[in-house]
Amino acid sequence: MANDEYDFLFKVVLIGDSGVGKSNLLSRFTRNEFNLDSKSTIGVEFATRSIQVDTKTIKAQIWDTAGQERYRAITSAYYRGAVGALLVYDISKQITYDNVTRWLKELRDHADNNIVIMLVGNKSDLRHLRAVPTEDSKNFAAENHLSFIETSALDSTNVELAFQTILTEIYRIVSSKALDGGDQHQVSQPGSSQPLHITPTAENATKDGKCC
Amino acid sequence: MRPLQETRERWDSLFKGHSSISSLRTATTDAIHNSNGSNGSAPSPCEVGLRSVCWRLFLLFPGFKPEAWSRTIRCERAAFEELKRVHVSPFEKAADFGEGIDPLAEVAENPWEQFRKDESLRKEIFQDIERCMPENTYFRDLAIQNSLLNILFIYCKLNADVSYRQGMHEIVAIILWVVACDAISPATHAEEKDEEEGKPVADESVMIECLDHRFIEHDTFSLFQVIMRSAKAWYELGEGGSDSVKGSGRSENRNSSPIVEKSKYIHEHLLMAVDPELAEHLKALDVLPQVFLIRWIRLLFGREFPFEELLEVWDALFAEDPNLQLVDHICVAMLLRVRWQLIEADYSTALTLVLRYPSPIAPELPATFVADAIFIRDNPTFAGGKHIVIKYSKRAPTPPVQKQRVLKFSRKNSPLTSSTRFLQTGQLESIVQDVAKNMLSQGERWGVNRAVRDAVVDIKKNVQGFQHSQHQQWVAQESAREAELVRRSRELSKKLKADDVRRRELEKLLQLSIEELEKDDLSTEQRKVSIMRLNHVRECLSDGTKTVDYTPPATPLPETHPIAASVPTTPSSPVTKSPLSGPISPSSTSATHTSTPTISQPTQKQKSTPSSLPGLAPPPRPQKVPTSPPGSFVKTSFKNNSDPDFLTHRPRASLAQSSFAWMLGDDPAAKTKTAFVSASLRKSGNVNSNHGGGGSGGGSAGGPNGVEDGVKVDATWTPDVDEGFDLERLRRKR
Repeated sequence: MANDEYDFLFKVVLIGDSGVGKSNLLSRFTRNEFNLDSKSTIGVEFATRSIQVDTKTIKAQIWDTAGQERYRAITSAYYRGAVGALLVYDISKQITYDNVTRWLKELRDHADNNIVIMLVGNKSDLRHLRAVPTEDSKNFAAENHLSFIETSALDSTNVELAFQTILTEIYRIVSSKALDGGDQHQVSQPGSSQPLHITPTAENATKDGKCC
Repeated sequence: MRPLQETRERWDSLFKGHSSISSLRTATTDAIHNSNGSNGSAPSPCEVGLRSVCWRLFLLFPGFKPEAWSRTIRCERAAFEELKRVHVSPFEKAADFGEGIDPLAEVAENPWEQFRKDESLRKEIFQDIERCMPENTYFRDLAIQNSLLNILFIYCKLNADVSYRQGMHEIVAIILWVVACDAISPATHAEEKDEEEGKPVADESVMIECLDHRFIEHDTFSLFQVIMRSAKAWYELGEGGSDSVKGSGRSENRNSSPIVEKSKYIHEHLLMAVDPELAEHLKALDVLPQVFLIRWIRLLFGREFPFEELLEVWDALFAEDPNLQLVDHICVAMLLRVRWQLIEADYSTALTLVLRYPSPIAPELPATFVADAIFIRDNPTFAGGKHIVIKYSKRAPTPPVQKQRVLKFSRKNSPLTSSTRFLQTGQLESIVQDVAKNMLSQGERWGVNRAVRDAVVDIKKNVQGFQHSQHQQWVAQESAREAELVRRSRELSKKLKADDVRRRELEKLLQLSIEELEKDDLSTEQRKVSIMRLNHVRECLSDGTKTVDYTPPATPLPETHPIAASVPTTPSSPVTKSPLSGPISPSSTSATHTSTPTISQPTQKQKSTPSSLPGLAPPPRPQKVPTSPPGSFVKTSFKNNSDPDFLTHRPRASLAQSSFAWMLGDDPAAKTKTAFVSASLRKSGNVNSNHGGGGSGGGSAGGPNGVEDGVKVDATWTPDVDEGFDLERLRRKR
């Protein structure tokens, strides 16, 4: 974990109401574990996993926080530097879906403008308890320029895909940015790189990476 | 729950060896000191006695005599009963209230409105209760879950400002568990009552009342409330909830919550004082303390240690500090325990380490953190932190002053390598200031303070010894200790004397340099000499073993001060450049320097005592005085110094070889922090230089000094602000 090599390091945050399964999505993706009686998260949890996209190694630094921590003590520390967000709700609990707009507002207020957001309907295994129709979420995601996927951390459905998708999307944005700026930077001093926004600015945005 | 008989034994053990709450407190904290098995002293009264009673004694009860408790117990229970009636019963018979009011009417005073709010609050709480302590089947019992819910809900009603915050549920659960463990099981109670019918045991009435299983919920609430008196602030949100400044982590100062402030305080004050290197390292990594401390503190370390061991931590914490201020120091102690791992860690590793804290294994059980915390609280210094670090790792951290000085110095490059160009007032002053600061801190590095502290500790021990033993054996021991003390203090005064002499010699060198540098018509060569002299002083200060023996360059200088060598200086010779200060003031002598240098050779004997050394002698080589007793300050004086920093002393390596050589280059890229996205070194510069962080304080790890993990940044050194030492003050000191 410490000395592995990677080409890119992306911080991705998990947000959404308490009990929607954020921690299990994290443990499923990073350790392939699922715990039916997992404790509620206090503060934050953190795990990393590296994946391959094209020929590049991408290290995902995934942060998971307490669902109740909306507008809370560690908000700014949590969103600081995040380039991706999985906004999770529970397909069997309408209220967690209703709160998605509140979470979007939270992102607007605290996260980087260009953060890549993916709407995730978790617990898709609970078919008989479904409260949120897939079509609704799909439409909502389209309206708000979010990607959308339904997952089940319990039976692993789409968990890998969800993370792969968002990380790839971030990578595409980053590498297009890299190509755009590559030449001019080689001309200037190669050693003195400046902090750059990795996600496209409003002018050159071609992807649906904008949250608002 | 326990049978009556066992409870009775435990109850008795509580009162057998202890006559007051304070003796019980002492016994509890003493038990952790010995928990590493080295000492077979008595186990904690919380372990062998009744933990819930101990906790109530530490936190709640007015006195040690059980007779006095009854009133408190009854009041607390009655109060809870009443609260329950008011707040909980509506949910048990919801239909009864608000009769005649349309439940759907949207008027403010509609009791149904409040009811719905409360119901959703109870739902929110219950969601966590269902997930509380999943490994413990006790908490899967619906009645127990309901007790937890009632306690938390009533607490929220009484503390609407904070209401329910995740984490509270685990505090309650642990208390409930402890209270329930100690309750007298109803079955055996009835049984034994039958057996003992007819012979009333007056003594036991309080015990039976205190540990009544019917009031587990009540008693838990009382304890929870007391703990929350201190802990509530950690759950508060602070004004404005959170900062609203977009993406900027730096804006946390405003409106930040008490837990963030507390975390900062722990990091920037407590940890900084005991282990500045570690504190700076965490800062450089940008591991924000609140990220992990929020859980450590809110749960009172509930998730960091195994359950049984956690209870011992709480025992000692409550015994030592009912206001729970010690929590801060426990956090510091925990960081110090993994200090070396943290120092070597990059961002991810460090964060993983503190978020999945490695639970210490026997014999160093978690309760030892409380012992360490008490020590740190009482010794909030670098030496205190060093003691703790060495205790567990046998390695000593780098002293802060030396490190700081080295960093500072390296930034300027060595004055030895640069020529007159170097001579700019600001730089010069800062060297002088360095030297002055070092002089003050030298005591610490030479181990004087430590020796004093050790002696004091010995004295303390002696005093304690008086209280505990009265035998001959003791006398023999004490006299041996006394002899040791006398020997130590002798050594100490010898060392102090030597230090004093050395200090005076250094002071002279300094003074000399200052005077010379103050001259308006100073020649380049003179400047060089002065700088070299200053540099020598600096080296002497940084290395306590170095002999104060400054020899000017071997190459003869074109000009020097013939008069100065013969000037009959006195200790009170003037040092200011005021023309009024006398005919042999530096300004007047400097005008006359013409002849060849009078460089002293190392073999040349010096008859003058340090105090009469000429303050102006330009080729200053006066400090080696091997024959005179006070001047016998040479390396041997320190040979028996046990300070590890001493023993590890090695000749200075060149700057380029040093571990901080990277600082010599002033790479702006290396100073940026926290790239949320960054490329690794093994990839091309093209990739590297084009991905910096975005938005919030992002930066790139690119550039020649970029590090592998984008968040690991070494170059976070910031220039020191001068701390009030200036030439003027140095003069006054003189």
